[in-house]
Amino acid sequence: MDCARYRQLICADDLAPDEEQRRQMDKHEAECLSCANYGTQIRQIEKGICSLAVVKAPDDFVSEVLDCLPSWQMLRTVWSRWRVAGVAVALLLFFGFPTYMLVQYPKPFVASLDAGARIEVLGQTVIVPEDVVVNGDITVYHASLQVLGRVRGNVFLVSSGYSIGQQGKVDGRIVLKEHSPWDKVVYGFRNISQEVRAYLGGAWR
Amino acid sequence: MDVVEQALARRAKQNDVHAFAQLVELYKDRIVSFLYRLTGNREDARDLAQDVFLRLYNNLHTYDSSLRFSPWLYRIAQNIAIDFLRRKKNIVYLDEPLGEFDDQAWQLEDDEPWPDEVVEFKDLQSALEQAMARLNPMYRSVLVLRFAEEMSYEDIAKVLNLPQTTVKTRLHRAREALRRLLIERGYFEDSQRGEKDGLR
Ligand SMILES: [Zn+2]
Repeated sequence: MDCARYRQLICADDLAPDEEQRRQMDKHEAECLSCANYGTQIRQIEKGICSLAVVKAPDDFVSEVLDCLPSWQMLRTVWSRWRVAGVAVALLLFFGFPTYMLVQYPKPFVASLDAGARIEVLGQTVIVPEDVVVNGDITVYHASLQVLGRVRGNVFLVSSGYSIGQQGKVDGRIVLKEHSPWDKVVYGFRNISQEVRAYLGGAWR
Repeated sequence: MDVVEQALARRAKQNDVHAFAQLVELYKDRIVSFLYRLTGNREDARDLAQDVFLRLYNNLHTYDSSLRFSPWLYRIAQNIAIDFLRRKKNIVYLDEPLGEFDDQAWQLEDDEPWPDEVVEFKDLQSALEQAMARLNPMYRSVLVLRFAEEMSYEDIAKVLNLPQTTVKTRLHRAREALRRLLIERGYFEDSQRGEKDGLR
């Protein structure tokens, strides 16, 4: 091995010399003081750079960097992180409200032209008691009607069921009708607006 | 490791600030050390490291997440350090300042006296650190990337945006420049003398 080849190999830090090259390099070093020195110097330089001082970042480095991010980018970040939640909330509001009304309303409701008739509402049941006579039609929404007394008119049952007791009697027709989902929503709104008005009226009184 | 970083970078690119924070955490010490080795000043290194990560954040949209992340980040750090040194010294560093092995071409950073005229070097290591500080930053960075950061030629080529062959040449010249500085100061014996005396 000559000096040029030796120096080429000692500087080729990306190519590890094979066993034979290594042996020849050792042999050349033993014979050539100049190359031996050169090889030592190259190794010392590489080792020295490898051992250069390490400097650590300050403890609060990450938070300081984050603090420097432009705020609109932070907003963008928040949006990208929470947009799924945001969309979910929007969908919940959009569909949840009518659903809520469908669940909460319809409330049982009875309408009668006979204002004096004592018609009772117990939970989901509308009762015409034994000793009561209703003069005119009655309409029942979303309830189960029990006729124990007498109805001198027609009975309209909207999304409602009915039973007639042994002493009960309906003079007119019994008409069954189901609310469509849309009707229910409209009905729900109407109920809510009635309650709001009642509440406001109560509050103003 | 690369896969983890690439995944974090991909998430950070989609504005995931937590992924970005993890990347900063992962690289902060390496980048500060790298910048210290290029600038020779701790405070500058820490300030510049902040700039590096902010520039990273602003440029994440240009990151090709199929590529390895670390050469990309080091490239940002390298550019910021070189810009800083240019501003500081008002020196223009040419990308390839050297002709063939021309002694006149070894560019030193400045003509300040060697520190050992004030303080004696304790050992070869501190002499080497002082000599590094006097090297052209382009040489300094290739030496640091190769021997301190232990990067492959391929990665160094990406960081410096140079062909691998140029990286090899530059590395050789940088090492030779450093060796000569140490010879000048009497820390190394001049083995070139042997060459002049007649190489085998
Ligand atoms: Zn030799």
